[in-house]
Amino acid sequence: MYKVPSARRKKRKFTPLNLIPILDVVFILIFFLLASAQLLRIFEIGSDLPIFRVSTKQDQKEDQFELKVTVNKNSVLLTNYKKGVLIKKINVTDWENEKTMKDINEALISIKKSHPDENRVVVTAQRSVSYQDLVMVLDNVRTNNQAGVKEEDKFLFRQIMFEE
Amino acid sequence: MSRKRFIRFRTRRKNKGDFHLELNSLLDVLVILLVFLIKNYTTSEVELMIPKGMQIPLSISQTVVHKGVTVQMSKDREIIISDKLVTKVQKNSWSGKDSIKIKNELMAIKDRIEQLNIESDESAPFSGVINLLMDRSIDYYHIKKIMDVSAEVGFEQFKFIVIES
Repeated sequence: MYKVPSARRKKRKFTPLNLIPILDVVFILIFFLLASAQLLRIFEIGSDLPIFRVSTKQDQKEDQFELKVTVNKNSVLLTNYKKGVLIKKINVTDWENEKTMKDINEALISIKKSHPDENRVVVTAQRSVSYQDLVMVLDNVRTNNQAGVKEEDKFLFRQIMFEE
Repeated sequence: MSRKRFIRFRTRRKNKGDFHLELNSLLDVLVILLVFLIKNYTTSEVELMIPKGMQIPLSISQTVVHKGVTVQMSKDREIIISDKLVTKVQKNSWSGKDSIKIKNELMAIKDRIEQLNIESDESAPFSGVINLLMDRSIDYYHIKKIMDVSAEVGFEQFKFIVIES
């Protein structure tokens, strides 16, 4: 059947999506992010409380628990500061050894389980202990580094005080 | 007579369309780059410059750095407070002079902050925060000394600056 010219199906012309405005925005964003980017990711470990001062006898209750972490050159001691009782001693032969750090972390996790409301920790170290080793211990004191831990159980002892 | 002029050859002529630059692949690359940059973007209010040669400790901490007075201690035990070299301490020793120099500098900074706070409402009050930027080889003895001296002046919140391990 004959079709009138106006009824003929017109060929649809393919019009590609105009990506140039999107590209402009993306370029500006990338430029801004690159300009303000820190190549090194710098963070902090806070010790928010004042330097620890030995509490008076009135403050010392027998049932109270206060964790003290002593970092020595070859060991880490975990003690109940209030009672002066040694909880655990972890020998350290190599500070780079992951197993040693895991042992410290596991010991602290078990302490946290028995004292869930306790957030404070008193930290002290031998004078020759290096800053890096101290930071490694602090990492294990502050956070539960086991795999698959829930976010709410991630934190161990967050309030770090340094012994006077 | 040229070949083009024959009707039978005319249909073979191709219509040359408008030239379109293919941007899809470029956009893909840029979006990936954008996602990577956004993911690594830290919203820290402080921009710390780590001196050349200083190796700061590695940590798993994810707490962003806050404003505070920066106290640096290099591998050679040079103590720099707010970009000013204050003293150089000896290995395994700490003299009273070192303490006095650090105290004086911190006291001057504290006074300046407090004075600014009195003069202007917009300036932040004295927070007592010290950002400790130290080489990872520094021993605890020197760290403790700096903390003790700072605490005497009124700086009682210490932030150990670390990099992501």
